[in-house]
Amino acid sequence: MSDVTSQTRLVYTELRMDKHAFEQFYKVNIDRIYRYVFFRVGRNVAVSEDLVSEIFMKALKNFHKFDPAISQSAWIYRIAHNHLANYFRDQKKDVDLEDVSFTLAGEDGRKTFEAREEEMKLYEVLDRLPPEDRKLVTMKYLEGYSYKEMASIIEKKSDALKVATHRAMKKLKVCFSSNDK
Amino acid sequence: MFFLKRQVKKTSQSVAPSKEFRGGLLSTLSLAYDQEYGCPQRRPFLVRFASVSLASLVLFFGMGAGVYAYESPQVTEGHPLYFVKSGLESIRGGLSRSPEARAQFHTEMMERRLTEGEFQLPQRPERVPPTLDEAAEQFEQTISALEEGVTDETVREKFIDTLSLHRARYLELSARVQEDEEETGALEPLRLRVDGHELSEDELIRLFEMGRRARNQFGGHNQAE
Repeated sequence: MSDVTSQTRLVYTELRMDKHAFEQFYKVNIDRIYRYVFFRVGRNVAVSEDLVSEIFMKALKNFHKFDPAISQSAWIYRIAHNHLANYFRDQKKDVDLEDVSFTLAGEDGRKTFEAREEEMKLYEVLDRLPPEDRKLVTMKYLEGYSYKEMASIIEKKSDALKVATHRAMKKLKVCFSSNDK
Repeated sequence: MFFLKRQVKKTSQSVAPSKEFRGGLLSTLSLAYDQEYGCPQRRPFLVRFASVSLASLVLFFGMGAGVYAYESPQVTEGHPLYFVKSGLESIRGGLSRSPEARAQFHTEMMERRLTEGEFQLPQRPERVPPTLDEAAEQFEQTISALEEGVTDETVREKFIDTLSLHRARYLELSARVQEDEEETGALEPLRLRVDGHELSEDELIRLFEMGRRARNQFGGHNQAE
């Protein structure tokens, strides 16, 4: 086999492997990113889908720059965060992305998420938590990140995050109980 | 706490992209990836499956047909796999270089022709004489190879023993062909030649012998009756 042929084959194999890697990356992260966006755009399905598509397209275009040494979750989270920030800036809205409001209503009249009563109650309680605690609970239990992934995204130690999240859940429980009364 | 965790998890599970969106986006991204990085599209599953299956079948039947053609006495001239058999035999003949190897090859070929002739006799008797001629030729070739360079007496004796057995089979098959010709009336061309006084001395002797055997047979029958 000539050198050119073997090199072409090598490049082809690498590309195929990268494509496969991207598909795996997509499958691992799609749900989390969707939830991340969904709760920040007033639970609007259509807007969420548009934004998630744009986020992954951006990730694809920069996938060759992606450093495997960095956490994949942190990388896509950063892209999603920046993309949402741009989206709100274009909408001329001043929104703190970390201070997500779960009870924010859908705004453009398109199909919105119809939450059940108990879910609405949970959103109300979540809204009452301090932003830092809300972020931890959201990342851990709604978006489904592991403590290790959270540590690479928030840049804190995972043990500390574990304790903080536990405390946040305790606060949520108190809020939930007081809401029932 | 447990109830709360379960409630949050349940809510999390209820918030997920639809299957259509998930699949559609993956397809879009896959196409975009190919455009972006120039990666050739993966062949569809069915095409890959069909090509692998076809290759397996060709290999399986190719090898199977080759072995069958080479081994089976049913594969003779006129059979669709005959060219495979003759090709394989030619290759083997070409690879037999030493006199001993050539003697071995021609002995085996003689045996093969005899087996083929025995197989052909009940179904296509007209094809047996040419097969017998080929067997006789292989016999001659074996003798030539032995004379050329097989000096070891033990080996020579082994070959001569085998050839004696093959010769006996040859004679038996020739006799059976002759009987078959008498029974089936295949001697009509011979009768025409008798009428035209075209027979050689050998043929006349053979004819005389056949007549004598027939007379003996009829005579035996008549006496029994």
